[in-house]
Amino acid sequence: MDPTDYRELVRHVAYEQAKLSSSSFFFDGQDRIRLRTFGSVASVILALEGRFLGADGRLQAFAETHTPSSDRTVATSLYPFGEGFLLNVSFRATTGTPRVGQVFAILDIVRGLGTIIQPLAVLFQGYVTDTQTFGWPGSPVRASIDGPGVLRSITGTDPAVDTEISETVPTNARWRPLAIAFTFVTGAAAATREVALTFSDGTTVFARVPAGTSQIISLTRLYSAFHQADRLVNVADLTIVFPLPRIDLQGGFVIATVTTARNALDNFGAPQLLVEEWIED
Amino acid sequence: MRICQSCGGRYEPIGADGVRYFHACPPQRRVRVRRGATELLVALEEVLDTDVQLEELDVERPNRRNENVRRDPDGVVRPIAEGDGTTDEAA
Repeated sequence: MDPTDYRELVRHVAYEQAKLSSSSFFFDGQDRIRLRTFGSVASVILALEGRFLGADGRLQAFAETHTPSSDRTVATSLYPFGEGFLLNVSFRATTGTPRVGQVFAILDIVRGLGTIIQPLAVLFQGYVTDTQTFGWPGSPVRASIDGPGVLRSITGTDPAVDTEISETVPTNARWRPLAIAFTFVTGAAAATREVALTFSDGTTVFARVPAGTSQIISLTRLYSAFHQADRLVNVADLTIVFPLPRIDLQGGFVIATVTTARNALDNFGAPQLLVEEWIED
Repeated sequence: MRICQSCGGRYEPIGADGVRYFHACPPQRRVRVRRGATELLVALEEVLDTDVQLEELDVERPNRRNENVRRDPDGVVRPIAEGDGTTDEAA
């Protein structure tokens, strides 16, 4: 048999098999793969790799790149294909070391361009890392708040004198505060200060947790709040410990201190927060 | 280290984990007082001995800086508010 004819036969059979396959996706030439990502960490590049069986029966391997944002806003790439069957696609971070909770990807099939894009099917949805490869078919479609988030230790803003601590959950992030620590130095003015942590939606406070111990003139105290803590004051360690409630916070929500009898010479240090974070658009 | 010119807060724009930090100014403490027949909202150091103090409250700064982003109607992602800007602390 002529070898050329044999190869043509194989391509024809492969194309016919793909039509019957439940794991291949037919493209009629108008469809595109759309990759949308929401990233919180810089210097990440994703590789999108896979195989496409063209209408001529020829198998094409493809490899594309995509750069997510670093401010948790959406970054979008569109990849056109001709007529044929998408056999498989996988992606991973080839530059950078994102962890679960830092780069969320949605891979779907769409038709149209610009503001007139019609989604047709979701192939994959989940977090991408540099060590775990995900793809279609096979990987599940997951919500961005499913499963564990990324643990982050964050140094907040060191407020000016006579200013409360205030930390805002970033846009498109969900935080679960696990621990908060900060110092409070009272000035040389007599008053009995009492510090409390508040949680608000950016406007209205919905939870307030008093530290439970007052602080008078010219003292430095470390305040430490964490889950399931018991209230205690360690005189030798100058530490005030109090419980932190388990609360999930959306982007724009605020963790802040509020201090009764605060004086113009009083000064908070930069808070250190341990949070579990997810992307949430 | 960056210094916010709206509130005087100091922060690192990139955290130790390589993730951007988005500063937002805290509120200001103000005192609502009755001065004569008028109710005013003043800073603590501006309270007069003759004022009747009604309540202390936190109010948003008029020049608040908020580096958290949003997508504007033109599709461009921008900080919510620039405030009075920032300076970099001398090394």
